[in-house]
Amino acid sequence: MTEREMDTAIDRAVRDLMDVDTDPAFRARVTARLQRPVRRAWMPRLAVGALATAGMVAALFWLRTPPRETRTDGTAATAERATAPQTPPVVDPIRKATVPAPMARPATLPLRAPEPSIPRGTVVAAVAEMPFTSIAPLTAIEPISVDPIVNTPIAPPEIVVPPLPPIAEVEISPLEPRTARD
Amino acid sequence: MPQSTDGVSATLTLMASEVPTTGIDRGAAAAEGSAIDFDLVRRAQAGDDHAFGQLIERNRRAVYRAAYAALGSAEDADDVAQETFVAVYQKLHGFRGDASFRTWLLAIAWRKALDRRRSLTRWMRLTIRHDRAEEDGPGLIEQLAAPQRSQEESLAAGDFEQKVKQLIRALPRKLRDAILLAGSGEYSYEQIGSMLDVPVGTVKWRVSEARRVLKQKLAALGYAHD
Repeated sequence: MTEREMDTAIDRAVRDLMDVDTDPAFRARVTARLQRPVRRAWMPRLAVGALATAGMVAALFWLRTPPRETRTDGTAATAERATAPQTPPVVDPIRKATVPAPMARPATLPLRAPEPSIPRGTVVAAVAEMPFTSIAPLTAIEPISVDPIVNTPIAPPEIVVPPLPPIAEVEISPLEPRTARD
Repeated sequence: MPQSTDGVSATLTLMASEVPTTGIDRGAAAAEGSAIDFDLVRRAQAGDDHAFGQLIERNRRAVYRAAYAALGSAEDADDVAQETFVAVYQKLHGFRGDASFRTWLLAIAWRKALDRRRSLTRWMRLTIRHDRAEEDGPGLIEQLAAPQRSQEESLAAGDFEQKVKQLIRALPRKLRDAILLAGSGEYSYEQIGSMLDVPVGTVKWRVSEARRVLKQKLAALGYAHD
């Protein structure tokens, strides 16, 4: 088979493979598909996802513990709260008529007294107390006693070499001539 | 601008569907078909559903064949072709006419066909089988070859064409897509390049390489002259 014949055969096979067409009802099928209501398969999934997210947020909000004060020094905070003047909130008489009254705080949240503000430019310093430690004071170290080094000579034992046994007489048998080559 | 009445449209559909014999005829028919498509698109964008129906009629075969080249299954190709026209209907207002309507349509069809090809496990199994056969080489050749019979006998029995088709189906995807699209006579190289998202030179090289591989395998089967 020549190369030209091969080319012809390949062309014919490709044309034959691709000699396909839709049936006449294709247009009607497309039209029917276009008129079909759009199926939004993602909507139920979106609704479920939104509900789940909302549920999780609500659960987190519900189970959340009330906020605690970040201050660790409890006694100082208590003392400061006790000594701070309990001044009533100042209400602007103009805004009083328009601004609604603030909502009452929940009982679990402690009222915090206003902290005195430090004027700008004030030099401040923080003093940190030395923490209490239970380490005993150092004492004098006793001197270490070391034995003196003694130079002792090494005396190895004397080496004795035993005499060799006499060699037996050697006998050499005469060589026999070979009858044939290997 | 030609009138897009049904009679004229049907005539031009026939013109466009025929494979022109010369390059001049092909170019003239393509330009004329593109102008008609453009007019129909403008009417469809204005809400004329009948114009869109004519667009379907004019282009359904090209879309279907592109899907068939990618999928190798008539049912899947039909489904993908329908999906393509539905998507085109929904996106029609976004078509500005930078490229020809057919090029735009075929690019959408090819993308949808490739999506389907990726998702089809049946196709994957088929491809794996083909790839394995191709890797094994002699296995496929042994399967296809009939050494007991002469070439004349095989040709008489019609086995040869079946073997060529099998070899085409067993080509690597890129080469197979290119030779099927180019060999169908339905698309220009520019349209194939747009569908495959490669330059025209790459399309031509793939077609040539597919031919070379096919001839090499045919020669290995004993169909070479010398």
